Amino acid sequence: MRMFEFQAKRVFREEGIPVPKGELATNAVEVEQIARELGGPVALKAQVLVGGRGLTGGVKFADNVEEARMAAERILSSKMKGENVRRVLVEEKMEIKNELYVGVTIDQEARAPIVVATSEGGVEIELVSEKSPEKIVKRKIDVFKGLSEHEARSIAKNIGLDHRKALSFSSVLRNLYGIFEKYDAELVEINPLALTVNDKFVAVDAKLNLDDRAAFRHKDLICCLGEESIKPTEGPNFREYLAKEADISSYVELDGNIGIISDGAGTGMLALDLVEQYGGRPADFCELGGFMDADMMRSALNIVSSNPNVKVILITLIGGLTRMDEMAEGIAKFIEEKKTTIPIVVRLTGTSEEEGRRILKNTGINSFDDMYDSIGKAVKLAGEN
Amino acid sequence: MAILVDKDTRVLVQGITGQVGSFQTKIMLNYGTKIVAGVTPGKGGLYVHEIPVYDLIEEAVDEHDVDVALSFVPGRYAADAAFEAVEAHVDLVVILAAEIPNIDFMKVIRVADEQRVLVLGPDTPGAISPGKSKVGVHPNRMFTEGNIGVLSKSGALAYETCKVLTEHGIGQSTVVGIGGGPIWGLTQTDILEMFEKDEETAAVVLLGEIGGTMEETAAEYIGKKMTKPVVALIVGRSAPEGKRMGHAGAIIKRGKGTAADKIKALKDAGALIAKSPKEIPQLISSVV
Repeated sequence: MRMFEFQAKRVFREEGIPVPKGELATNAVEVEQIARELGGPVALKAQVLVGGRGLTGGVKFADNVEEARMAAERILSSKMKGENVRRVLVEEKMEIKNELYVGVTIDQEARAPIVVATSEGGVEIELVSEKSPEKIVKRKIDVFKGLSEHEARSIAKNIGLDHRKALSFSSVLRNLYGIFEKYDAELVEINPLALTVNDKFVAVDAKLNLDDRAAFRHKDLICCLGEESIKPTEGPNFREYLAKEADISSYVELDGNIGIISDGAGTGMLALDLVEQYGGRPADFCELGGFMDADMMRSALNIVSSNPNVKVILITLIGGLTRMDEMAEGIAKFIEEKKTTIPIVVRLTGTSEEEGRRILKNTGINSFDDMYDSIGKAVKLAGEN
Repeated sequence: MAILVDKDTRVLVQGITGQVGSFQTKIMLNYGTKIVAGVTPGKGGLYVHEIPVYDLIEEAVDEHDVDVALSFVPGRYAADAAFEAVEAHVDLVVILAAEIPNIDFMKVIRVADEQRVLVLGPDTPGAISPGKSKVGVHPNRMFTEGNIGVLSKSGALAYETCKVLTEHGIGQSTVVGIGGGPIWGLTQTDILEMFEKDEETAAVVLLGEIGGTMEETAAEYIGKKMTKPVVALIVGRSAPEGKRMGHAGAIIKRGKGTAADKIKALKDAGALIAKSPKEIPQLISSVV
């Protein structure tokens, strides 16, 4: 789960990482008020979860209250990669001498936490990594021991900081690692970490992505943050939100007309690839996940069928852990309740398949055993409708 | 000898009294798997399909020799169950659950490495050596005994592929699911090394997917060390960037981890590339 910048900064502040003074606003009047209280030049930052905000006009600076109001009006009426901007963070503008980068994430190969730091911050870390990899310091961390003080100081010295700055930098870094541990982060990142003209380190931006698998440990946090996230009420984001509520592992909307539901990630991606290979266009990727039941299948059908672009629904199931009788029950319940006119093509094979096939037959669906046959049929139907 | 599981492998099932654990235990017993004990906290003394249940693994291993622990324990208890199995010094721990927090799993892996215990998963269907034994949840009828090793991140994609292989009369030595990531116990390269050494395996089918760099690392091993032929299929060619496709590890980030990159690396390493499971039998027949 990705946190908004203002949420991440609140966590930073609580955990002892300096951030600029500022507040959240939803309209120009509030912006004016905050800018007046802050006094002096301000930064206005669109609160969206998509990247590349700076390049699409999502970050603006203003020297006075009037400029701040005008800039806020522009930001609040804009869209960033399809996402409406509804909130803007108004902060004191920092006087920056140097921009650094620091992040904590997981090294998949080493299967350990890793700290990444460079004194060349402010741009995407991938760009630094391509142009001047020698300027990036990466340090694997012992997951039991955590980031010790001398390791943090060593990282600071290795990115070229003098011994005085190394001390204050390492304190930021250790607090950042503390957040990684305490909040079960997948990624926690400061880019840029500003060195101000007063030689203080301040987190000008803040990124915090939480590990969904650890959500059970952070109910309080997620509950409080959840109230702040504006719940979508229509469109692809709404369907994605509903899927999450129904514990569906993943729902990704695409721009075609064949709604796809699968009971495995690999087989779901295969279905997607094959539909395209057969000349069809997928409307979504919907994968139910590990321990799934009839109710989840019914929810998935409700969500996929509510996408107005969907002309055909293709369900590809191959059961190991998943029981085909339960999946068939979910499909039967959906058909009984919804009486949909959207044709449903089902491929069903694997654990408890005989019972599954029988249940489907009673609702008038002849399921396929072969995936290719079902995909051929779905693509054909999508072409006709 | 197959890899990881064989007809003599003695299995302990964690979470054996649960609905899923009990149902799948029955299917494994029917397949011929030697399940010697089960564990569910608070249910010690019961029997499930005539298999004795214990409260703790330490109690079970006092009474039985155990080679593999297979865990059906879900959610927040999964990590603790994994630690319990690792600390009991079994040879292999198979973790079906997908929900283990990353930090917990990194700790499990660290302890497992120190104790030289192998971990398969998380989010794996397990391993099956057809005709011999099954430690996992694979649908039995899609597998048949033979000499092709199959390894996959996705369980369902392995079923898909083995169904086609079996329909074409091509049997499998062992079929291993390593799980959906984003962190893995045994990796593709670890399993390739085992297949390379296994006398009963003549060729290997590698089923990969978008995200991360594991396939690229495996390609390096295939190119430099592997003598047996490899047929590879990578799914997610049409996946959009930045979206998680089911598995926690299946995500293209900032242009990295695409199917095209992985296919190129594998092709350059000498693997034969299939575009879907149906092409695999012919490619296998061309090299074996």
